[in-house]
Amino acid sequence: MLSGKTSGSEQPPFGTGIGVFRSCRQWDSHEIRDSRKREVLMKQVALGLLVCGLALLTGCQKGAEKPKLYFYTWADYIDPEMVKAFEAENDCTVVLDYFDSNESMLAKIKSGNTGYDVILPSTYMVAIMQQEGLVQKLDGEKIPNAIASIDTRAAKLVNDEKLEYSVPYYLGITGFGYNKEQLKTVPDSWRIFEQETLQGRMALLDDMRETLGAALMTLGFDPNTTDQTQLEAARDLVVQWKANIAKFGVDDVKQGLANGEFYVVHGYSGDMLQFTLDDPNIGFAMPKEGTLLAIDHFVIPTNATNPQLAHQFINFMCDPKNAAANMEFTQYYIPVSKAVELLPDELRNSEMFRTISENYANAKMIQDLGENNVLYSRIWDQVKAAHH
Amino acid sequence: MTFRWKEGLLTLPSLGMLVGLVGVPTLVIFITAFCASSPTGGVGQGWSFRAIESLFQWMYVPIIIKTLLYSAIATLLCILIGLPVAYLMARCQGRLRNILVLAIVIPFWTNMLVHLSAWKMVLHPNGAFGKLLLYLGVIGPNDLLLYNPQAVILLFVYIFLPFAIIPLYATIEKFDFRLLESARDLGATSWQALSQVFLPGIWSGILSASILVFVPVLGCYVVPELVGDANSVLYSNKIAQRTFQDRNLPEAAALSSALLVGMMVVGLGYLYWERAKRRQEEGHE
Repeated sequence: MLSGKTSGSEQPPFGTGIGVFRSCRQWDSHEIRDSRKREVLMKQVALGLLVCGLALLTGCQKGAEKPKLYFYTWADYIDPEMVKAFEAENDCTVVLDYFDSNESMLAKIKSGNTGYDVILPSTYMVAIMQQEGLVQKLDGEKIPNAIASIDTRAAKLVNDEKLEYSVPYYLGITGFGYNKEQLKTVPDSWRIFEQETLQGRMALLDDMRETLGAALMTLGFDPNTTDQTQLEAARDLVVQWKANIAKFGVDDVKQGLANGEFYVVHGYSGDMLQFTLDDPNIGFAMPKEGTLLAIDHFVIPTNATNPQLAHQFINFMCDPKNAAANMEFTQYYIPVSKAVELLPDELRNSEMFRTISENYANAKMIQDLGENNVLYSRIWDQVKAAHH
Repeated sequence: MTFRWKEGLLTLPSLGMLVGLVGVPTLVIFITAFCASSPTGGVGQGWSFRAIESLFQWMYVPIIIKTLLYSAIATLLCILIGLPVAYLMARCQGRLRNILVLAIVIPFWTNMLVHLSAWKMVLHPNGAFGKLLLYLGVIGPNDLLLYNPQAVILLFVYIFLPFAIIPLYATIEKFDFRLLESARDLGATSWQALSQVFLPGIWSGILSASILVFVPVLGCYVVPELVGDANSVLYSNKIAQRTFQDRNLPEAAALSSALLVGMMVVGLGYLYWERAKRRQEEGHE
């Protein structure tokens, strides 16, 4: 009886409970986003549950089995309507599973045959997975939409212009979200974290590469430097900032901006932009010294069970119409110019979206430094241990 | 002999669980500490002492001191608050006692993260409590109740208090209160009765409550991460950083192993001391 239902429009009575569990790391964002997002989340959860139910039922319904696509991604990071449309178009079932950090995803993939067909990791992790032989070469003929519409400037940033291993999809930058009521002027420099009048009401990302990268750029250095003296100068600057911030964090820092605890926070554009839609008092600004670009890419793991369907999925999401829907849902930029044209005016012309689309080609990105990562770990240890 | 056989069979499932779910993972942690690290995360090829060597850094000393201090303060507060509560519970009868036990146990079943986010609302600067303190002049308009060491201790105590109350209650419940009456009859003041009869009588309960609070607090990295300030980096946060940010599993494993070994040394040392003391007492008799 469930065989044909994958729409996810029904909400099982226990959907809410599972939602709370799944969103442990992200409960913060749900409080403040509008109810549409919450409803969509519930739908995702309901969809997940339905699919699990289906998985159990397939044992007795061998004949009615549909092909399945296992998609491993970040939470709230794809328009569920698009997932449904893909299912309808290809007569298949999409199973969504979520990770909250690239590292936990890598650990799971490395542990063996996990059966995922499509994964959406960040750039540096794509490089690691490629090095480890965990991703397969993409067949360009099977993803014509991606080849035709993904802006090559985005692909160039990751040295994969021919889209041989990965398809760059969501683009975001780091900058600061700020409270317009409390700050009379728009912050335009990383040095805002030195302002003592805001002491205790600011927060930095608990991410060594992002935060040390911001300090390195403030000092005019390369955010991927391995020069010890430059790193030490960046350390001293972050230690100076540390005296003024309430804490280093990730999700809670985001939440703190939305609920008025913090006036200036270091964060990712998509997250901040979602807040600016809900609350006119929140703004997002880019520092003049430079910012770091983050890209999440579609990849197909080596041991995917259904690579054919995986290619179809990537191709479907790169269709300008569908990419536009995903951009609207996530507020992250997708480098498909035809999709940007399809966006509603207020989003396309929003200050931030314009800034990102005009500047991303020159933005700096965090590169994985392999053996040299430990240089950053040591410096970060010293930042964390420093006392005033 | 057949009886023993059966006994062995009956313990097999729990023994298997203990070995498989506690013993083997612990062993894996120890082994990982001696592996080479891989820049791509996980474990590299070959064996290496680098992770163990990395433990000997001055940087860890203040972190260890801070961690022990936080854990000790949290444990002490849990015992000080837990004792009167457990005493009250043990002295109550029938339904009232059941209600009290439930009142302790039910919040205990709630996920820690739910408690944490509830407290973040209570301590929010725009919350009722924060506004009240501001109105009373206790805090200034820019003071935060969250993101400081006091908030970390408060949350540790709040979350781990049931771990103290339950074993204390179990011990106090079995305590023979007539002993207190006899102590008073024999001329002890109420303070003497408490300190020389009651407390030694429930010493084992206090000890197990302390261990049950102290040990999980040592490993609880979520609390300092969520309500601590930029300086609230405890030992457990370092393990989390090594795992999730540095992608250096051997160093994370070395830190965890060092913690385990440290606690084992303390535990075994205590057992040894206790046995030596008992032997000495027996010798005197």
